[in-house]
Amino acid sequence: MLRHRERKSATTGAFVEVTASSDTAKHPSGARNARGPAPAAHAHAADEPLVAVDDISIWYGDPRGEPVLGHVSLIAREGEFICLVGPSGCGKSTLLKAIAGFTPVGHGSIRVRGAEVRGPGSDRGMVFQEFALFPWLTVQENVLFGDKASAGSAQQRYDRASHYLDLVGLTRFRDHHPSQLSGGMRQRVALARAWANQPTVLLMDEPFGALDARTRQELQETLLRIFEEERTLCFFVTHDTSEAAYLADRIFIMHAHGARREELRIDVPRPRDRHSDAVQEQVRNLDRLAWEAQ
Amino acid sequence: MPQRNERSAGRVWRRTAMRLLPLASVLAMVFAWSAAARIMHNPQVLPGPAAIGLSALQLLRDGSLLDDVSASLTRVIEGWLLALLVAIPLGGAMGRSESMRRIFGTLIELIRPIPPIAMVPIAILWFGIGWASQLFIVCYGAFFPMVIGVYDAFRNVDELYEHAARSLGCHGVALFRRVVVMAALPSVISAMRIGLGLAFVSLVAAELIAASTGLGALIANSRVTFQTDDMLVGMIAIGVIGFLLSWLMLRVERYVLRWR
Repeated sequence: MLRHRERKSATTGAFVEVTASSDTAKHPSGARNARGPAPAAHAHAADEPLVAVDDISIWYGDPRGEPVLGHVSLIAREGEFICLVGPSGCGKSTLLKAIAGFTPVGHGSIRVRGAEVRGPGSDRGMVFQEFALFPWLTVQENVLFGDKASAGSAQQRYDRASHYLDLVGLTRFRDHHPSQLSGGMRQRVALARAWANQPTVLLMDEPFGALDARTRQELQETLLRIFEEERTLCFFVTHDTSEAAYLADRIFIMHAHGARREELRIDVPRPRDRHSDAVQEQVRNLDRLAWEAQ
Repeated sequence: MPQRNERSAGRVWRRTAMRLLPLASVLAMVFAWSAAARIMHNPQVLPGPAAIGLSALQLLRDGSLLDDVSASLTRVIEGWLLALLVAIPLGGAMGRSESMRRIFGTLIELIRPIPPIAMVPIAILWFGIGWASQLFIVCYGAFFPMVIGVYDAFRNVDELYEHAARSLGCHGVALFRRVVVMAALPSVISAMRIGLGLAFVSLVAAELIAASTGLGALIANSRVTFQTDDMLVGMIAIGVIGFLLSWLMLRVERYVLRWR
């Protein structure tokens, strides 16, 4: 929940979404679907969230001026897919970079599994819009780059690479270099690389923003397929409301200058049909929440 | 489809013609020169290509041309390697550390404009006429472009690679070795190629003034004895060797960076 003041629900320990202007945006308390985030299924998760952002503010430059991000709090639990949505300049990427440890926090704290974030680390995997593959390594070497991904015997490493390359459908390209792949394929490698390192949380900064519409949809489907298999907590930054409504369990809507923040829960079971009424209705809700306040 | 065949045949012909163009322009130059030499009819001022070919053969047969070439090449490689040994760590350190940049940056910018040829007299004073002062000049000529190139290479490593590596649990020495060095490598190799070219140019300058062997010495000595054809043999040899060195470095570059 992204808000100045948070309220905790006594029964579940989960954050209650803000009152959106429409009733449809509200989450009917009994209607949580079986595949949605279920804190009860993870004994420790009820008391200890995986990621806890506690009242952080971030300034670029002068700390006496207006912060880029002011008084943000949120809590995320195992198995959730969370989208951060908002116009450019709302601070959604800044929030992601703060969790990643690239941007220092001016006030407040971020904890991942209870440990305070003080810099980047392999418990927080990243997927970048620019792919950021290492062009001097082959596809397989990229996938096995991480400290945990590269552990074990040659056979274990090979099998691990096969598993993740299979998930993204690139097993045949394991010995290619990134320069030989299309943009969509490169981003698939980046997904495999991030996941192969078994992060606690996966942070994705507009990962499909540079791809064409068709490739973007294919990658969204690939992403959800891996997510269903691995259930790693995901943060996904986008300004595309239909992308967010298709992917997310919860969506944090941020506005420019951090004036207002809202949360929308998407309870449509997966696999979702992006053209279904249920998803489309959430896109409309999201559009209203995200753009009306402008 | 005949039309497509015709078009692709046209393309092949065009490509072949394109590849032959450099050779054609060199041949045209030789012809023009030959004609000019015939018109001028003064081999002291402008010997024709045939006369130069003959004296090149002569110099090859008595072994002196090969001696000069190998003397020059040895000095170039020695000086270039010595310059590399200093330029790579220093440039790398300057690219990665603000304080190193501030300590050495201004110093380098102050010395860099002094051309190698201007260092020859002082080199002779310090190291005498011979191996040491030639090595110094070659090293000096190659060092500055390389240190600046290496510095740029390390400074412009895309932050994205470092962020990606850190998020994958790679840091410290491993990050430097596995990511920073690899990301800087293409520009470092370009800097090395440029440095080798400049090492060769500086060497000839040094040999023109203070050497008994080498291509520069061949040119200088032939000037004194009015053997213009030998002088031109030396000049052409410099051109050809410089061309070959640069071609070789490009091949090495393409091989090392074959992932691009």
